[in-house]
Amino acid sequence: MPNIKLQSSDEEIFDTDIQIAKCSGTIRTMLEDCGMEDDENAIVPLPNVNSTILRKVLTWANYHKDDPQPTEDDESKEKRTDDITSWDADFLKVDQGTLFELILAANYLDIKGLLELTCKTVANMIKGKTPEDIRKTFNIKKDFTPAEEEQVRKENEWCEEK
Amino acid sequence: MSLLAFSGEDGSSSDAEPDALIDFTAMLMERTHECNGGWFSCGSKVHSQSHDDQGYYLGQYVLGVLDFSSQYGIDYSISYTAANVIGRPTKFPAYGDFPETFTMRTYGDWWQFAPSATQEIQAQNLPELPTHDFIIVYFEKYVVPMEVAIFETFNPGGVVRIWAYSITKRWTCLWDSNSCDINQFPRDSRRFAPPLKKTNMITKTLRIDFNHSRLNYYTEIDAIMLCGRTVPMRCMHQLLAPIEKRIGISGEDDGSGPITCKLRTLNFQPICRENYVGKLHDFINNDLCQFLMDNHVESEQHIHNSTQQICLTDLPCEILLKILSYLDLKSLFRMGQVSHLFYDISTHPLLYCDISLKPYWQLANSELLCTLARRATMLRKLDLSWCGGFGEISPTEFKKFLTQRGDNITHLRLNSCKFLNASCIETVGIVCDNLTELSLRNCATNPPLFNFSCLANLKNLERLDLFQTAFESELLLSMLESNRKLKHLNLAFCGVSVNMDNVATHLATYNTQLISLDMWKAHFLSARGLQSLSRCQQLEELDLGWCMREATLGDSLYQLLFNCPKLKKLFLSAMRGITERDLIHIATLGKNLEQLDLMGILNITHERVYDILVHCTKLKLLDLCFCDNIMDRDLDVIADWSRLFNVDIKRSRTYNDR
Repeated sequence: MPNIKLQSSDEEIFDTDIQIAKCSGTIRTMLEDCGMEDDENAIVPLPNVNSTILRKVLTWANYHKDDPQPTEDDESKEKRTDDITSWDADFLKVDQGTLFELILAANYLDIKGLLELTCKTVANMIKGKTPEDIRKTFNIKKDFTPAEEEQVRKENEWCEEK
Repeated sequence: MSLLAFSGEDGSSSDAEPDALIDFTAMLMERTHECNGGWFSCGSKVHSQSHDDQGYYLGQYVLGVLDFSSQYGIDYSISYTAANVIGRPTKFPAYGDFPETFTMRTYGDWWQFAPSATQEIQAQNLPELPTHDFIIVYFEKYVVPMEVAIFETFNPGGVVRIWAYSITKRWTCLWDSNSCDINQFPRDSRRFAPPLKKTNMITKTLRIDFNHSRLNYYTEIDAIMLCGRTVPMRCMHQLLAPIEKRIGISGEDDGSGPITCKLRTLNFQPICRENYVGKLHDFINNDLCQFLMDNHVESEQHIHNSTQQICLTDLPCEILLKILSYLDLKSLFRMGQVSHLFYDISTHPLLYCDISLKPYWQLANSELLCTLARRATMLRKLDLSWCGGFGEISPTEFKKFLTQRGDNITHLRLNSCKFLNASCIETVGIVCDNLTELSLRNCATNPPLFNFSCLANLKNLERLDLFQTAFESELLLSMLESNRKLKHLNLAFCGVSVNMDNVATHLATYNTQLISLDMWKAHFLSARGLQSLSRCQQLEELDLGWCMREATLGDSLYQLLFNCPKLKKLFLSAMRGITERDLIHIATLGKNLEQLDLMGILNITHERVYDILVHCTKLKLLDLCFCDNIMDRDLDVIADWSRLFNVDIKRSRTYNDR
């Protein structure tokens, strides 16, 4: 299997199996549009991804290289967040900053599976928490005026624990 | 009278009583009703006044059934109906399939693989073990619940949640199976009494939730017992005293904690009007942190964000929207309470295209509908099943919601919605003309309110589910005529007013794209009707259980099998007219059959069973219960075949009474 060179934002070169690199829609398009596929020495620049994150992304892509392409029809199933495999869960035991950078990378590189996985992981960090817990978890500042807060609280009355 | 009084263990519950006081205004009203000769004035016979002064431990059986989502039996019969949970156990501790119990319509997960299976709307709202069926029962006396015992006499293990409706009109979950890990169920009867959440609520109404997916066959419930402490008269008297006086009394209590003492020295005298428990919880959940921080400056906030790490709020909006799209509705609302940014994102219409309040049936109310109406400007699918009981959703608010947001809805599920009246249905017919799916299961009221005539406006229906709902024959026929694209029709238990032969003739004329048809326990189909159905050549699923009874079939079943080769699921329960020749036709023509129910067909022999197993190679489920010609001695052979052909064969056994 031929390899391809990916260059991170901090100019590290990753010699990568072309099939693994092509799990990224962005890279796939670049290769096809620029006809770089046959050029062993071509370098694909990825100015939005640093080497730490790119290394993680490639680890993930390597592990999932034989996954079937996600199907569109099973719409309701993909909204569930309890289907994360233990390997993926372990893979994402990282600090929040890394997790968000992975999300941005998956979004930029157009890797549907990784984007879904990371977004679900964040969703799971939100689920079942009180607003105050969520603020603490993500270090978010409450910026409501008392009147606004009362208004939102009224809308949420139905889901308060009683 | 289904009551059991135990001797009281007096006085031991004094710590529970002050909290219980909150419920008493309504209690008093209830007592006034009783004095006026209300519902249950007979209750006083059971125990003496002296008991009443203290409160005592009481175990009581069900007095009546308020609602249920499905039952195996039909209303005019007593076999396998919900009403069988009333009173003492009649069969327990015997184990077996008894008509004297409450049985629901399904078991296992077969129905989810059938062609008629539907997808849940807003599936992220579902708990780990979703509720498939429920029953709501009431008892004679209000108690503080300590134990709920469910007498399961066949295939135990279906119960997943126990809810109690408090006198203050709130549902509380007393037990949830998610918290306990049971996978193996005994093949024996049991008195199932899981540990309940400790509570001071007062209740006489329970809802039991069932999940059938782990069951090998129908579960059967013989009785339900509610045990708890009755509410003592003494507390009633205290209630009669003015509230200020009561605060004075509790002030003499030595057992109060430091906060209470502090508040007393500050002369803290709050005015309590309504819902102060809710407000207190609210304060503890939302404001206490802030309060403590404000009053404890020296404890100091951490200096967050010293590094240059990116935060959740740095992510672009479309990604935040994607993250929020995985949240259940409750979490989504709570996210909106976090900050301005998240309020704006969490109220985005894209997150409200599909709404299901079914998993929140106990929380849904008119105010929530009103809030959702503001957000759901792109609503496509709506499931309000099980919601709005006990007046929580008003018909007016529902109609307002539909008028605002209903015109683009394609899927509408209103199963067991007790607030529906004729005018609501009329609004559905007028506003929701883009509906492709309408589900009105278990919406029967007595007397029937339903005037479905406006539903005749609907032209695009592909699925119509009227399971256990009474309606007019003429209207149904005209709906069939105007919805030519109909693919799925459920008329199970649809009452005596509709003649199934007429329905079948109409289907054969106008709805030849039909894929699934359920006529379970409908009245009645003859050979002529069955013959008509064979013109619906796309049929993949047909349930004729109990709707043909003694009818002679002629060659109608042959015609059906011959013309509808796509049939995957065929239920012929209790179709007594089936001949040996018909069974041979099933074997030779049912090439695609996956689920076959021949329950109660008397003349089937084990030779015919073998024949079917050999020829129907896709078969996965075969129900042979109550097939009397298959002797008990054949059971081992059938068990062998089950393994050999990899088919799940259901077979009734005789269980020994104990």
